[in-house]
Amino acid sequence: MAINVATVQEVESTDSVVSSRFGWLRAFRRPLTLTGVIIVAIFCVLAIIGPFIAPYDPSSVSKATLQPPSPEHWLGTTQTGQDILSQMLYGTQVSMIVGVLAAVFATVLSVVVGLAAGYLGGISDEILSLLANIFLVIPALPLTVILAAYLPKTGSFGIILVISITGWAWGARVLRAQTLSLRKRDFVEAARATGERTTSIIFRDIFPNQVAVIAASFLGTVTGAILTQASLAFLGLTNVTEWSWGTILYWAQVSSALLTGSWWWFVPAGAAIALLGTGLSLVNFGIDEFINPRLRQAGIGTRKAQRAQVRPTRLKAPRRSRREARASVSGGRTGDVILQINGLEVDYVGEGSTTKAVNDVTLTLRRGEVLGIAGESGSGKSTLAHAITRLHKPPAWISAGEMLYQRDDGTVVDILTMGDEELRRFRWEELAIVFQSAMHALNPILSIGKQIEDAITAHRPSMSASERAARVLELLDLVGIQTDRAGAYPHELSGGMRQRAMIAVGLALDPEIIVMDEPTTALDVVIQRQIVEKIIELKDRLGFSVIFITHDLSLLIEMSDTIAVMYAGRVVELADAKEFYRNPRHPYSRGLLGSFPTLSGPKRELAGIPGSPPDLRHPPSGCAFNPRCPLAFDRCTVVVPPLFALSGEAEWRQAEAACLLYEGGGTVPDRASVHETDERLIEEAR
Amino acid sequence: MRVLLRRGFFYLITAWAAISLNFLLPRIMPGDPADALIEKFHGKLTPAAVQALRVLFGQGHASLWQQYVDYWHNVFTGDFGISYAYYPTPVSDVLGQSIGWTLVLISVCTVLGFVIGTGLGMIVGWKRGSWLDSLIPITTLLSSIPYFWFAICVVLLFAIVLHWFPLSGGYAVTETIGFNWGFISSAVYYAALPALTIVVASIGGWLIGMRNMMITTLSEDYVKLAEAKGLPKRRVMFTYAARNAMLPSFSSFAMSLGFVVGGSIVTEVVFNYPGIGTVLFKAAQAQDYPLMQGIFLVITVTVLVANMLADLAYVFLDPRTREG
Amino acid sequence: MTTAEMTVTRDRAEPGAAVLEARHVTKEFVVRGNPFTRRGRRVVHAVDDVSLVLYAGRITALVGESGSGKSTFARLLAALHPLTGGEVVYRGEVVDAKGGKRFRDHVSRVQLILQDPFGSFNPVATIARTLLRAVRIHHKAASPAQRRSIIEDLLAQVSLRPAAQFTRKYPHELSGGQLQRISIARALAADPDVFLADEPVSSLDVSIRLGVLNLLRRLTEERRVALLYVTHDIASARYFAADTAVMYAGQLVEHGDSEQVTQNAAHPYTQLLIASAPDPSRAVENRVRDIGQPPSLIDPPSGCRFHPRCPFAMARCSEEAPPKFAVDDGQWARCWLYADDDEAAAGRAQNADLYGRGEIRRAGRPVPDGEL
Repeated sequence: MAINVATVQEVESTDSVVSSRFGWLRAFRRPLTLTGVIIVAIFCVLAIIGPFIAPYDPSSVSKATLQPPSPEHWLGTTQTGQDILSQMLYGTQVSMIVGVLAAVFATVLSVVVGLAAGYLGGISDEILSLLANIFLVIPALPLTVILAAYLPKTGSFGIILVISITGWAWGARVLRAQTLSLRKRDFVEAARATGERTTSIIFRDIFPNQVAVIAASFLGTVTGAILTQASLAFLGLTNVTEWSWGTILYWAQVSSALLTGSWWWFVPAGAAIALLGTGLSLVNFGIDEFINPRLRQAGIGTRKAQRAQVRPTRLKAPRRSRREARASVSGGRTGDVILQINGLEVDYVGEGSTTKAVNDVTLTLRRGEVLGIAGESGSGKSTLAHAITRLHKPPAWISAGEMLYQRDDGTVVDILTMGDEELRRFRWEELAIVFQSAMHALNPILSIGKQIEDAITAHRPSMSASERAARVLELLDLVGIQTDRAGAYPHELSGGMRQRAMIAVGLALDPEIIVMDEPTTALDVVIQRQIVEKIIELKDRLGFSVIFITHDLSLLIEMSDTIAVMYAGRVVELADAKEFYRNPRHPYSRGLLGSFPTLSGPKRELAGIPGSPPDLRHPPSGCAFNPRCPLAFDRCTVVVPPLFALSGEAEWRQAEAACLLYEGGGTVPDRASVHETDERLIEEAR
Repeated sequence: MRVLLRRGFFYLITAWAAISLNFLLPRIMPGDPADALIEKFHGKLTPAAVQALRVLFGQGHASLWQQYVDYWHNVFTGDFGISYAYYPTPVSDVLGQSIGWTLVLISVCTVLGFVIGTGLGMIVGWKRGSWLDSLIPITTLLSSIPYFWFAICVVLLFAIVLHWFPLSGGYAVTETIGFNWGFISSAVYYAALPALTIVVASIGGWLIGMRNMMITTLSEDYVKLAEAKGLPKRRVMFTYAARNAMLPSFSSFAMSLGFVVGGSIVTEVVFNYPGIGTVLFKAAQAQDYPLMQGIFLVITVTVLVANMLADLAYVFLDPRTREG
Repeated sequence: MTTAEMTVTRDRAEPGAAVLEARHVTKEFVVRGNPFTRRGRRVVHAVDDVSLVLYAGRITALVGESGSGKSTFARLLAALHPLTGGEVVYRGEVVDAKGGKRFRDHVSRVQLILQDPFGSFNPVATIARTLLRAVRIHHKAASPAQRRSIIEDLLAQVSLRPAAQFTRKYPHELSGGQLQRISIARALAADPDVFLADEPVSSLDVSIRLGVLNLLRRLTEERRVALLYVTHDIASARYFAADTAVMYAGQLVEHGDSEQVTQNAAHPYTQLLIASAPDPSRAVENRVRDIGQPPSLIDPPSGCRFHPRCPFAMARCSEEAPPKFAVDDGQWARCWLYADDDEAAAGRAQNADLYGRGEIRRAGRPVPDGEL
């Protein structure tokens, strides 16, 4: 749905790691990944040149038996006087060849099985998956031991075969799951609809998108194969006269190197295996983080933001404005200010650059009021919702502003300066939030009743279990869920019911404010209407205030008292909802309103807005809307317009617009000229 | 319930496949291991033992189907033939004496490794971005170390250099096996080093897997909502983040368990521990095929049972699997 | 080759001629249960007996909620799924898209445009590469240089100029609006007669939706192609499409001129849809009392599938599926309210009353099965 995309974009546009052709190279910039690559590279080189640089024949015996490391024998000698360094160098080649070849075979097998099962589906999927699962649960090592024991000791090739036979299943399972999900992706369907052949789809659409996963599975299998080979050799199941890391350990064990204290005999081989394994795993982490953006977010790049969040900062004083004076009126009556946000700024800290997602936002929420915040993707509306509840996560952090909350008794607190415990108690008791997707916002493994009860238990520890249970049922009834569904898990409810459950969770403690972030966007219109009516009904009954955030201006106008329109992180217009609908002031609001088709009344000409929303990393100079604005003039590219008060409005819902057209006594364009420009726009948009 | 039935069915098929594979292997392998073995024992084998060996390799006169039926009969009666490495002890007796040691050691160590690894992974994931992340390279190193080599190092340090623990074996020779305090304390004392090896070596994998899942889960909306609800941090961490993050660990239990079991078996060899691993080593040395097959069967069935338990736990932990 | 030669290669149908026709199209998906016992095997009746005609140079909207089967229907017309029943007719010939060659032939005439522009491009391929693949399929004889100029021309047609600014980019480097235009360009590569646009703008920001819709309308008119506009937004259908068909639970329930359907909806479901849509321009506030939700398509309700939610349901509604009733010029509804008897008349009066309409509708004329 529309907003899924929007919110993802909002976060990712600030810290996007591209998957373009050379984007993967970035993964190697991480020091850990780079270390891994270097380790693996060194071993590869050693495997190739090892036999040539070995100082001795690894099998030739000498009189220098059981020598500790010395200038002649860097890694010492064995019981029969063989040079361990030479054995290691020869062994590197054998172990690496076994590891890599076994991994190549196993990976090819798993790619073939995984892709076939995932793409073909049906009965072939059923059989191949069963086969893979069987191989998965049969413990590999004992099976390998048996297979290796039966095979005549032909040396490495048999071992490679055995390891690939036992090692393909995991990769096949992962790739099958990947293929299944890729097959459902739109671009595969688009390729089919274009008329592509199946082979072309598999090789050009599905396979290239799995390269990272295949690489990860390959590297993992290399590690596994080298370990398995070492174990088999250690158990004496390979050709023990062929030098590999495992056979060195075998001879050390058989010759009781441990009892004679000859640590130099077995330490190098094991250390080599461990080091190479570590190197491969580190490379794999790089790939993992590349595949899974969430892991990337947790990485080092966000340290600054993390520290910023941990540190209780004194924020720089917000820009003082006359609005503040209005905020400090006391009392608990409808219409009184309950939340005053002043000069709020939220930054996304990226690598080397900072993006302002919310920029100098000042808003007033009154008791019992619905404050609607409208905006498109990237406008900062979701970031604002998270900032108000202080739920923003690194790399986002609040760099300036204050959020004054006025309690019932008239005391005023700044939400931004609350300590952890104070914030915990404040949350839900005074301010609750309802997320867009109830599917994702409800814990899948707890029943909805339990999730409502959770909030009550945390804030009302003195309440008895039966009182809590009664409250849960009361809440479910309130939002229109049958009370016998209290034990239902989220996946057992329909989309509309889940959203009702979310609202019940939100109402659990009778909060003063509920922030609703696109609460109905994922729902169909009919269900959306049910939910919206429920919200309004409950608001009228219980008297809380709502901050309602959506991209759907029509819906917002219908249900809000006051509307704030956001563009590129700033509030560009603030007005009474009905007044806003009759007479939008900011050219952006006008364009937005003109983009919505209407259902009743005469058909009016629709005009979109040319261009697309700005990239917040490189905002246009001056007013962010100026490149798309039909009324822009020279000064618009220079001056960032503040909100100008517009005359002739109701007293406490005075309209304001951030547009130079309304600067001081500036000329407000009359309707006719606006219509002319609209006409021009329509032409352009065609 | 249907899920459990389906999983049970799957395990039956897997067990059937593994046991049949065990039957098939000696028959499809190249060469003639039976003659080589008989040769090796220079006529020390009784005619009955020679016959049993020929049956094992399918050289009898019965049809393949008849052999297969007989094989199943033997499996159910626990008759795996006679061990050559421990000649003339029957394989089932050898297994009976060693399985208990391995079972106790590995089950305790696997559970400990899982609990500690997952627990640490939970904490490292929860405090992502802090100094704890620097643990990752260390645990990676630990998880890449071959179990048996780590065991050798542990023995060198704690048994040979420091003399804190015994070098090898399962209990002091002065004790008699039985349910008495002396034996049990001695067994625990002797198991300390092998257990330490297995636990430490297996922690890394669990830790990293859990950490990554934890981070993925922490950015889920339901965790955010739990925080917004003002729940105590512990509740958010355990009930909302960790319980969900743990689920994939359970479903990948199969692979990890096979890995841990494999590693532990080889570890036993280093400690000369009286379990299945050491027996397997001896069997491999002596090319004792009947014994190896018996071991393979026992381990496979045990791992299958353990996996089934993990599946049961999964169904208990995740309500979404309980239907359909 | 000039631009004109490349773009108009197919001889076009006269404006208003039927190009693609669905006749009693039915699709059932089988949810596999146990492969051995066949227990748990369920059938989803996704599309049930849908007939619809698409005309050259004309936009037809298909409106419905998620799960109503509207997207499946579009895919059936694109031959991406085999039909369970009924037939698709292209310019008088029954479509047989079995097998690679025939499927590609059909696809070159009927192109699908998907909803999510971010998802419908292979993330690891450049735009040039993606477009080139489509061009290769549909312009087999073209030389590499010709292919390049075809791509430039395609991008120019969707107002993306200069082409070089887009061809080298990867999908994630472009905005949703630009990507959706490129989707359209990709569909144009086949030079089709029919566009099937599955929610082409619902993933886009409101301010850029209009540009994409206007582009589609321009292409429809200029190239005389038929366009099926699948959407959940009935208000946009009013502005954008000449005809509107409304789908509920796999069936068409109403069809007619868009203005007629949106301003004077006949079927109670269409009425509910319109009353539910947010619309500040609405003069009267009508409170919707609906608390139901769409039925399961595995076990749909008997008779009229809307009857469990319908405020005007009568006894026969749960027993017998209603036939089509022609209620106005070119508008029909599948609803028993338009039967010619007293009970239905009372229902119609109640209906007019609930939606505050002064005039009570007349009974409809049952439409024979063959007539569309």
